[in-house]
Amino acid sequence: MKDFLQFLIETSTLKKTPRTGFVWLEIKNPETIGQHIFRVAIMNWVLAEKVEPKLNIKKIIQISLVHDLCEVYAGDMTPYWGLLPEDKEKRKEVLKRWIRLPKKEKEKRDKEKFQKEKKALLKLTQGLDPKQKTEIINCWLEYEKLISPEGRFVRQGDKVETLLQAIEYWGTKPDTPVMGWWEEVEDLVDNPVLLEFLDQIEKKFYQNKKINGELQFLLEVGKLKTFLRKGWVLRKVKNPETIAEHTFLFAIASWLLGEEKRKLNIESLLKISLIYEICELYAGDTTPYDEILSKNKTKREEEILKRWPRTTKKSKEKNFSKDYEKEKEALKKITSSLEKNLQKEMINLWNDCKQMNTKEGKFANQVYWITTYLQALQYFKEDKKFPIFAWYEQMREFIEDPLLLKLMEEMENKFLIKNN
Amino acid sequence: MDEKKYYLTPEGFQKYKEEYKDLKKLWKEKKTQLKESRDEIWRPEDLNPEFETLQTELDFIEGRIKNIEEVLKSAKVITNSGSSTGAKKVTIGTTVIVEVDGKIDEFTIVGTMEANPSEGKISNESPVGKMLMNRKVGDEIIITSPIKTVYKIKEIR
Repeated sequence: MKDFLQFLIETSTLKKTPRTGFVWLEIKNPETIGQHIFRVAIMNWVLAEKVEPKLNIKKIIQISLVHDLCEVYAGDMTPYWGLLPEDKEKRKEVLKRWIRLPKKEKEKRDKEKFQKEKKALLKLTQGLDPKQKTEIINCWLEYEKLISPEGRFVRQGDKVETLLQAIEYWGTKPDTPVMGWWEEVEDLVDNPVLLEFLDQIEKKFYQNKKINGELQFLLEVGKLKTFLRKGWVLRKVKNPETIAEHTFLFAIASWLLGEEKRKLNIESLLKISLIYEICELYAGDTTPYDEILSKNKTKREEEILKRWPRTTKKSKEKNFSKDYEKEKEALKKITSSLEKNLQKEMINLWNDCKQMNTKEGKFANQVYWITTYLQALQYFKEDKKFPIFAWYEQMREFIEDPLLLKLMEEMENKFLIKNN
Repeated sequence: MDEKKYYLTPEGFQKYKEEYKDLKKLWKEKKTQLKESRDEIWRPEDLNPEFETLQTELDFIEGRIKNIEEVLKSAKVITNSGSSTGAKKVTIGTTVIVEVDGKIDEFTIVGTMEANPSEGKISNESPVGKMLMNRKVGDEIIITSPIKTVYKIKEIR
């Protein structure tokens, strides 16, 4: 568990690692790698559902989650690596268009990048259980070497998501050059579903046509990249985690812990993790403190946040059911542009986790809290004023799974005991 | 519905055949190891990590073997013989040198199974690949989705 925790901590650095391409373009608060992975995973799932012959959706999500993990150590090696001039203005000029190179040069650069990233991924996964490690490496190989239909789809979807993000930035910062990204996808994408999706993007952003369906859904979901988690805002954390960033780690943890737990349906776990928090876009991120804080105007907020809120069972039930209805309505609204079957599946999965009424839902719910607690402990490590005790209290009531309790013990050993 | 044909260059086809042979050999080795691991360690299978790792590796190999079998079954090998009657045209397997916005780019047109633009191999079903097919040196193709890009064919090999 110690090594697994180390893997989670190292992986979580991607939550706040900005994507190089957008940094170069001087985008204000550019998206992070974690945010990107979040939407790539949801986008590829939703669009892969439409592909014929059928693709393995579990694999699609796993490859999407893994595809950029090597960047923890290799950094974000964009296709422009090593080719950009130092001069800012000259660099911007190069970034306007797609890189054009002789084939031999492309092959050489591709090999070099592959070796560097493979080494980085092996370093990141070195402490993992061999089965988990093999699975991660194999997923990455499928993506990197394009050796399976799922790997090819994710590779193309990855670039389409980046293009979509660039176009969204272009909407708010019109001097963002998007042509290079268009050129890249035109060379790469050949999947009919993704080509149709690109057509939708073009109609929406270049012809001002009203577009519903998956694009509408993914644009909404994309807002979660910058949607701050209220619990951290309330505790005045600097540069707090967003919902997309949390979901990214939550999904990876659910998958790998779920494998270790055995006899759980990994596809359900992955899907639950990806959609569990999206309702918060419309429902707002609620915390157990909301009611108490609104009633106790005179008491200092910091005092209240120091301890886990205590209320009657009746009050808890009332709050849960109020929350439940609000979130369910929000989820219905956000998924309304999707195919009815997919919408129904998402609502059912969310329900399983919220109500904890399947073994996958119950497990995912606890992984949700464990990954939140990990972030809380990391904040505590940075700032000892962070009210960690409330979390310590809460976790002792929320976590019951033996495997997760072991992980929790490891987390506390690392962040609480050693530091105090 | 017609079964999808996978267009492969002779090199691509050969590469798949060799990989298939290697994977079959590897599969046999892993299968034997798996059996030995099950026999040697007298524990329930789902509690034996060595067994599970081997199983994961085996699943990956089997998945890849299945993929290659599908490709080889539906493969159509394209030989880049050029045109016997006129100027050489872009087909699957040809390498094209183009000029885009004053810069030289080079790629081989391949079927979807061999495509990897980072290695300079683009699919005949991608927007650029599709437009380049059957064109000749001197032709210009314009990609307009949604920003206009002009590809001028300089050389076909």
